[in-house]
Amino acid sequence: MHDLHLPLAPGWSLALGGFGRGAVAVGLVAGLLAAVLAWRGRDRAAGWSFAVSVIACAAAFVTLGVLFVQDQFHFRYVFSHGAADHELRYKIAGIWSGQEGSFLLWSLTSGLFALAALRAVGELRRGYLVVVGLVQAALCGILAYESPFALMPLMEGKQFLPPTGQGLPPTLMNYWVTIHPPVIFLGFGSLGVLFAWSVAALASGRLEEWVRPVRPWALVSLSVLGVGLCMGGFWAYETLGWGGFWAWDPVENASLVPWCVVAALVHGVYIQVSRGKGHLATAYLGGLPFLLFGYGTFLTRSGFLGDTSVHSFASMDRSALWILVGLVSVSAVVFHGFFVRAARRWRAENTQPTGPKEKLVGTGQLLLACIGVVTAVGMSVPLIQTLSGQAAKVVEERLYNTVLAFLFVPFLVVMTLAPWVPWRKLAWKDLMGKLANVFAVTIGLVGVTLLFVKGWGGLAAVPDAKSTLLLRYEVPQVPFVIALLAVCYFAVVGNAWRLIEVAIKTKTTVGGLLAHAGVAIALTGLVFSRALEQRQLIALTPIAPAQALGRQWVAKGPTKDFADRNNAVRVEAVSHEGVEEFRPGFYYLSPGEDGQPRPVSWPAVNGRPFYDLYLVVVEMYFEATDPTQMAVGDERALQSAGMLVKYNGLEVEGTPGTPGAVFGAKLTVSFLDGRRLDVKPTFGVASGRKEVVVDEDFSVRLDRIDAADRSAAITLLFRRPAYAAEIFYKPMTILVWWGIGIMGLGGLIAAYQRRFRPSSNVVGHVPIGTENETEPAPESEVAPR
Amino acid sequence: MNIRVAGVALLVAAGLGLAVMAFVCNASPYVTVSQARASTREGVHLAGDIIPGTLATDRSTMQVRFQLRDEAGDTTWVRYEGLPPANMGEATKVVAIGKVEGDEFVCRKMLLKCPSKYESTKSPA
Repeated sequence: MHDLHLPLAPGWSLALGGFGRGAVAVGLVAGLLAAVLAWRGRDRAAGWSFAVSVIACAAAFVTLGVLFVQDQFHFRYVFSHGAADHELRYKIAGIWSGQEGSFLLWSLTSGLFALAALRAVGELRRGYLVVVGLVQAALCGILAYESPFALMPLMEGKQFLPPTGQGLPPTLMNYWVTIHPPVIFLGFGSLGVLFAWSVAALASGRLEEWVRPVRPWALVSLSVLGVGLCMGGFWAYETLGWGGFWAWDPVENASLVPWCVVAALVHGVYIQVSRGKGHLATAYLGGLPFLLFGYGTFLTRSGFLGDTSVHSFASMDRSALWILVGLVSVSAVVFHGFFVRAARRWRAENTQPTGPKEKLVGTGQLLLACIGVVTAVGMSVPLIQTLSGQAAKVVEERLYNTVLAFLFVPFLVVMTLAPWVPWRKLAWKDLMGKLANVFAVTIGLVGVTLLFVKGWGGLAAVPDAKSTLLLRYEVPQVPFVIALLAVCYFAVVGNAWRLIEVAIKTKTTVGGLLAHAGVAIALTGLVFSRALEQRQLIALTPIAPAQALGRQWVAKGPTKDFADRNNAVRVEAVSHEGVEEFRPGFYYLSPGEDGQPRPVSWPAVNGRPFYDLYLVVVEMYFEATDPTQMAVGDERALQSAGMLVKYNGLEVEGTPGTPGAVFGAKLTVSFLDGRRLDVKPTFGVASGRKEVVVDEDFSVRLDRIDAADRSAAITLLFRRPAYAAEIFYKPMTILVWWGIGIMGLGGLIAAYQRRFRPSSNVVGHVPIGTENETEPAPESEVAPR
Repeated sequence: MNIRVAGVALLVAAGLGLAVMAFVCNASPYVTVSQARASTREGVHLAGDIIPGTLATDRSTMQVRFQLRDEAGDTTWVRYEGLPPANMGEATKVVAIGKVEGDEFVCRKMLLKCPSKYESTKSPA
């Protein structure tokens, strides 16, 4: 090692690593202490202790960041996920790009969220602090075993500083790696808060008081988790091999399942606040997302999924895994214990009959919870198979789509109708009268869609394309997709129309309706983009433009060097609209163990109002033809090159069978304009293949010879690179972006509108949920008469 | 009221039961080369490593052929109807989804087992 002249690891960074490990230990002890102090009724001291735990996690996080930014590769985690040549944003993203760092991020976001909500918890502070303290301690316990501050092995008793690390995998080198994980982990962190709050409510039996203060936090949790999920979808959309926006991969499912349950919780709170019902169900829905997320984390990190995911999961350290299993299972047992006890003691005071809105919202909650549970079951199939001793199986995307369509379609219908129906008595005739406008606009949109699939504003849909129904029956794709879109349109228009009506009279429920419309718009975009996608494979040669998707495509060459990871290939698409440039990323990693070049591609996505064009360069090549075997005297017409090649025989220099022998193929090339050219590409064991230039576009190469019959294999080569590419037409992808933005905005507006103001809300043991409640006017008051 | 609640609970339980059955019965099995040869089922998952140097692209038909070695060490030719998925060079393993036709495994979809969004497969030197 001394021969490599590696510098010794600097003392300051070794001390900083020790500080990081110490901070994790302080986080653990302070978290535990907070739980003990709270248990003994010393809430104020417990709060301070918990704050110390969170500050310690923040300190560990910042420490890890400094080690990454300062290239301290003698730390194993920094070595595995960082590299000296990474840009600053990727050095920072290195913090959470591995298992240890993502647990550190989780402990930080969970702690910060819990600390922020501490004031709002009010009288449930004691139970809340016990739970968040224990969760924080458990996460720090995992970090003690899965430490991001572990050092590389000593060499000759010394700690050397490697010049660089292994760096991020190329698929992670995308701007989303800096944005998506912090956002989604903020969402994950919020689940622990909802869990602690609901446990505290169940333990104290105060199932009425907690819902008003928890409401804005649940809405923020729903919005942040939803936006984080969708950011992951956008990352997958731009990353090849990840299956597009949504591929029902366990990593994605582990986030979707808690989101569905938090959405059900938010609606449970709505029912409880408005009608004074569903206390137990709401409390249950508050705790469930954290448990489901914990289960998903266990599933994806325990190694049970093995080969059944396209993602690789390094198994956790056994001790850390046991802490995770302990955290999830103890949490589940304690939570269900308190739930059963609370259920036995709870006596519902409100015995009013269930009204139509309540029924519909309840159905929506049930459907959301079912979507979550069914997804969790699908994600667990590999585990079920393993535990029952059977061969691994995996639930494919189309199976998820088929099964969940039975829940999504009624869910969209319920989501549209619920805002329109009154709390008390439903007059169907009035409702239908109001909805007639919604139906009319929906039908109008279906008409516009018919024009769109005929080619107005985009490309005509493939007329004979089929969709598979129930995994078995083939049905024409266009009518099937339009039927699905009609349901989505109904949900968009229904919620948007209601939003305008409500906004004119009162603004209190604008956020929720906006979020509904956003979800429906995003689903519309997903159906469009996935179902009506078109794909073409093209060869971008330097001699003639390729025709695809109504355009002529020409490659103009690289922007940088093919070894530069920021390199892109400039490609021009010429149509009647003009010339449009695409810059798909394409570069080579240094050859792997097998010596083969390793290309890496990033798509160029050129968006426009009605569709995205998505271009991927898959490979670069020079061969204009395959090797062509020719006997002496053979002629081959190469029409694409406009030439005729005649093989006149073999010429040998040197002694055949010795390394110095060189074979030459005597060729005559005849061009369409009458020109003739004699060329002689050569091939030798020592000298290799020497291609010969034919004209400005082509050269010719001798690949093989057969000494027995003196035949030769000839390949025509382009002199400039050609590219194999895939082009996708993805209609209405922009709706996914808009939908998610609107959903997130709606959620945050709802959280702001429902923020807890103790001074203006009567909290305590006053029964809530009556018609005279202090809650802003229920929607029935502005419902159609 | 209780009957109604019980009815809804029964309906939900039946629905969830159906979903579980649909998942377990229709989930695609992971097979070895020898199991793939014995199976007539569409869409089986064949996981393995690409044998270096065997990957070849036929641009006239836009197909890729390569030899795959499974965990048991058995090998088979795999034909993928399309260009090689981008980032194949980064893949540690491929999962070919299709069925055996003649002496080769024909796949319509190919997954690349790549480093996760949050986990690198690399280990420190």
